Amino acid sequence: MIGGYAHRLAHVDLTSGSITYEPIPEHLMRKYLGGRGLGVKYVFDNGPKVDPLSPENLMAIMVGPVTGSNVPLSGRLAVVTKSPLTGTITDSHMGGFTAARMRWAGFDGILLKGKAAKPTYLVVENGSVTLHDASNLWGLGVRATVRALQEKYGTNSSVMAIGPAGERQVRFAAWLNENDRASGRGGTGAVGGSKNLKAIVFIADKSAMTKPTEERKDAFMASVRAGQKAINAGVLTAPNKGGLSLYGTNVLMNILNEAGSLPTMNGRYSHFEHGEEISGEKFRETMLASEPVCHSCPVACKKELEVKEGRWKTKTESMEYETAWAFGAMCNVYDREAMTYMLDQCNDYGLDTIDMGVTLAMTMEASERKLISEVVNWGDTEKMSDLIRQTAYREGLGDILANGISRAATQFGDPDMAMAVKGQSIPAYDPRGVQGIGLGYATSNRGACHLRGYTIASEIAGIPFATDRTVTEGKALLLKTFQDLFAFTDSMDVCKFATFSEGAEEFAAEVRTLTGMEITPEEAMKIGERIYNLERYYNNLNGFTGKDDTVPKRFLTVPATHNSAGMLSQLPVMLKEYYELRGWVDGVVTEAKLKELELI
Amino acid sequence: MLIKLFGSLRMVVPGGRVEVGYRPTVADLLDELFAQHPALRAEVLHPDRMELLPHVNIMLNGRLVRDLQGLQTAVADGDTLAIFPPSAGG
Repeated sequence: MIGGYAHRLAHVDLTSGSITYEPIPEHLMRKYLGGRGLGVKYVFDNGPKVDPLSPENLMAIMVGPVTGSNVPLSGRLAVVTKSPLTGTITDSHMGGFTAARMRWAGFDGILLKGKAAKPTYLVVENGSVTLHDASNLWGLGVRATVRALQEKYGTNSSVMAIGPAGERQVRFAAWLNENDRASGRGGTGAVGGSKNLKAIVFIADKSAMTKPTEERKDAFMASVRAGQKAINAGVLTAPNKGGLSLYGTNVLMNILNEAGSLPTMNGRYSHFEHGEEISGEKFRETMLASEPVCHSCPVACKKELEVKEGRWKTKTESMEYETAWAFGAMCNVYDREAMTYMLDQCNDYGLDTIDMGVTLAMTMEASERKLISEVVNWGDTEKMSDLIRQTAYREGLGDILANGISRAATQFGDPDMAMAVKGQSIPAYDPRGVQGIGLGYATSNRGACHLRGYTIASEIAGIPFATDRTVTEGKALLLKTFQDLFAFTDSMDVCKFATFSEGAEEFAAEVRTLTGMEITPEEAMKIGERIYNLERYYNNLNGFTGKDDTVPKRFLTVPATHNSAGMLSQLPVMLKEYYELRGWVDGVVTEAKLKELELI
Repeated sequence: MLIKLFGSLRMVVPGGRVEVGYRPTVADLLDELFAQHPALRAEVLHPDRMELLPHVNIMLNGRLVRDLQGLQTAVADGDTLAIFPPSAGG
């Protein structure tokens, strides 16, 4: 038997209340591994032509073979479904301890379909799933929901929940857990809301920790120690020393701003004059409350912040780089306390902070151009906070914003105001000043995203090797390599930050020694490529082609400013090379490629 | 000329701003910087040679000097140098 896995999958039909169990067939483990990969396979097999907010849409809650083990940074859980924001397939991952508890409770995945007749939550424990009435939780924020369920089920429970935004099917609503860790992107929280699913409780403790068989124990521990050594010695990940550990992801604010590659005021500019005020250095210096960790992670990149008094009094985690940029530079805000409060609002309402912030920036531009009657001035933090609440509750102007940035911009009269790809807002890197990431936004299978292929590691940080951010040569291969590797690591499912210190060799060794599957680094990359192509094929079957692989027009026509002055995204050049490398024709997977990857 | 320091380098130089006189290359500017703040050298350069530590990045007016002529990149009066310890996130 293949090691690592729980060998148990639950099929939950929320309409009928029926719950059945089955093992995952071994050939699927070998082809798709787990986490994102297996989730994508199950969503694909459910059929592409479903309304994302209908009972027919499948939502897969998945973990991977190394989840809940000693493998470094192995505390990630994937929510895979068809996105109500983009109409593409999507997967969104959360950290904390939820994933480990799901595995320890005896599951590799929970596949949810249907729609419950009344608000419902699941309890997952000892290899079984049960349904419970959530009527008394409906309407509560994430925090109150988590608190109520943890009081009921005890300290060995983890809870993932939706807030008012998910209940109202806001198209960028998120799932969050008790540590404020979010499956933020793609509107997976709205899919939960459409099914009347309020929360999932996982009950388990470390006694069920994921372990190898006795004969593989020594080899597994050797691979774990190698991984731990790499993380502890990594210049980025070293605990209390590396930049990521000290300042969190917001260590990036100053470097991108200095490079003139920080989209500002809805992408009109690429430098924010107050960037220093919203940097990780400033937040650490002025507001740091604690530095919590996730399962099996010494990095502690999460930074809990506290505003001790005044209008914006709050305590929350974590001011990620993307969040600080979306509420900050994009909206011309540098009030750290107000930004922290808005982050807290999103965490409790259950909203993706990137899409919320970028959508607000678009609304500010619409207001300035008198495309809407409501006044939403740049930098007006009171108005922003109010619009976040309105969006979560679908009130007033917020009811339009809740439909997602591209739909809202179109309704306001100018779809080009939406700094988005395939309907999902861009993250915090300007594709005019950093060429490769623009190709990443365009070709991401879940809409604009930096986490499908993080070329920034090479183009800015110089990891694993340095490339010039201003050139296009070689970026197609760089991106494809990242995309395939990340599809594999998302299927293990380990945190992206492990890739700053480990590579395909280490990851393959961890999976091989735990499961017994003969996975080489080359096979790991092949599995990643297979998953990436299956996602693309799903999107193609939904009508997506090369015309959808683009970046916002502004980045192709309006030059960057400051230290990237005059630069534009050179997407068309890179895209041609990328398609050739992928073996796709105009963004569409060919039959030959599908056969080569054993997808048909 | 202004040299800006970020991240953990501010633990060595609080505030992260250092003014130095004009020097013709990045390497010369670093010499001037380390003369004022000797403890910075070990955070930026290899102990035995004039080479940046892995993943330490220096920008001259926003361009990474590794993409120019490295530490021998020519400097003009009024340019801004920014030094970053290893940084990535996402």
